[in-house]
Amino acid sequence: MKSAGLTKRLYQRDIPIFITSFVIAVLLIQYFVAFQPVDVVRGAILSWANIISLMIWLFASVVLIMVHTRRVSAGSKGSRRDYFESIIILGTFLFFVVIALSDPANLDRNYVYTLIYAQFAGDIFVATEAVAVTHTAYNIWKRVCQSRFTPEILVLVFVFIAMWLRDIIFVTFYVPQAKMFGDWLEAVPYLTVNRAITLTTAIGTLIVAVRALVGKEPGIIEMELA
Amino acid sequence: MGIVETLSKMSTANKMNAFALILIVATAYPLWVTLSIPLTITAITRGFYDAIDQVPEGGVVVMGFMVNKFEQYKGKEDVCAAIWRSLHQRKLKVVNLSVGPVAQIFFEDIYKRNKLVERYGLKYGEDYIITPYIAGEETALAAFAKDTWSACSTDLYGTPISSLPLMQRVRSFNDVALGWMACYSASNNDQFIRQWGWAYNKPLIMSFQGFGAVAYAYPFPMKGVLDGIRGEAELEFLTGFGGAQLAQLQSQSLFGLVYLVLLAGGFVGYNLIRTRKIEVTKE
Repeated sequence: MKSAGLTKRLYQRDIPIFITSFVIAVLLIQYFVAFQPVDVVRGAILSWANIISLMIWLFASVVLIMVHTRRVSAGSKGSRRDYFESIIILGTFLFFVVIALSDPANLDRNYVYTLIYAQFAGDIFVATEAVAVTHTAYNIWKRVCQSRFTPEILVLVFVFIAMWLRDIIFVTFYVPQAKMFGDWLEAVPYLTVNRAITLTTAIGTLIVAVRALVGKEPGIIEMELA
Repeated sequence: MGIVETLSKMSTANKMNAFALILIVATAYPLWVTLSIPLTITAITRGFYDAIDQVPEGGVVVMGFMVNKFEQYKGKEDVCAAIWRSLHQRKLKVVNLSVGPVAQIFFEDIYKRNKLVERYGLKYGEDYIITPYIAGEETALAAFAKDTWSACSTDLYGTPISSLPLMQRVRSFNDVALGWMACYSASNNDQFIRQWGWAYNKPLIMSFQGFGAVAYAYPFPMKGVLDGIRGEAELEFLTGFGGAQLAQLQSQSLFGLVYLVLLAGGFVGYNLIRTRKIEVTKE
């Protein structure tokens, strides 16, 4: 039976805001003030963050294994594609479990596992990148070519071309200024805008956080209740 | 039916695949064939190349390899091929000095991988030698520079150093024309510069780890540095021994060029569609 005092507002809004505010306060104080007890609290908070994060990872892994085991158990009743996908996922999982346990004396530093895992992960990453680059390139190309020449599109296309020219070696061979110009675009206008956006976001977030703490910022719950 | 009409009637999936295929071919082609695309050579790479070029035929070059991990050689095989092939092509004598625990493995790999002995008709002991690991970093560099026979009594294969014909004429760093160094950390550069460059007034060149600033910090004895992938690609280009780094640079460039051509074609094509009101397949 749910306690009368444990409202949705309390556990979904007030408690998370309190914990977040407390953690922010500790980290801010620790950053500006050299005081050993605060260092200890900060260390404990970060350890707990790791513990909670690991528990979430573990939970997610268990859920994934359960979902795929159920799919395989269901056999051909479900989607054929899901069935084969789940077999591959579980097979890969078991393969790595066997490798990980193959050297019981070095469970925490099994180099064979690390090497095989790194090779697999590297190959998958490169293949995914190749597909992403080639297919994303088409989408960018299409959007750019189909765009009307409004000022912002012109700036986008201009910068896009300038950045490409910077990396084409025979362009920079005949026109060395292309590299200098590309470097300048990255170092000055891009960085300036980037910093301005970061600063604006930081100030905006701080204002919203302070307003939320003093109850001036309506959260989702208040909006739902309104 | 014109090309614009044909392309406009292709399905999105086919267009994407065709686009991807063009880019993949453009990217992959330089991996097989070294292109003659001109490349700007930076001053420090030019200095590196010229330093080797200026050593007279028969001059002695000491290759000081201060490495302690396989990762410090992995991926550098091709640029090592360019450096060592340049040395032996010019008929220079090479002392491969292992001042890192795994350097001798890399030296052997360079000679075997590139078939340098067969390619240039080299004789071990006369044209090149490989030392075993000499521990001590800076003290090892100093000891070898002062008295080669005392610092290293045998070569990698157990033959007394003093019995090798090449080492008969290399008794100290005074007998050396050029020193090459590759280190695992920035502070090791200073050791080479102190013990070889300044102490014996000998020119030095450096590769790997990309400490390009060294070349600017020490105008002498540093004659040149291969600064990162770009520097290595430049050397591969200069020597004519194209390898992975040059291929990577050319691949990136060709990708960019083809993409810009496609972009220009796209602008023209889509504007033609607009002006001529060609019927486009619904996507």
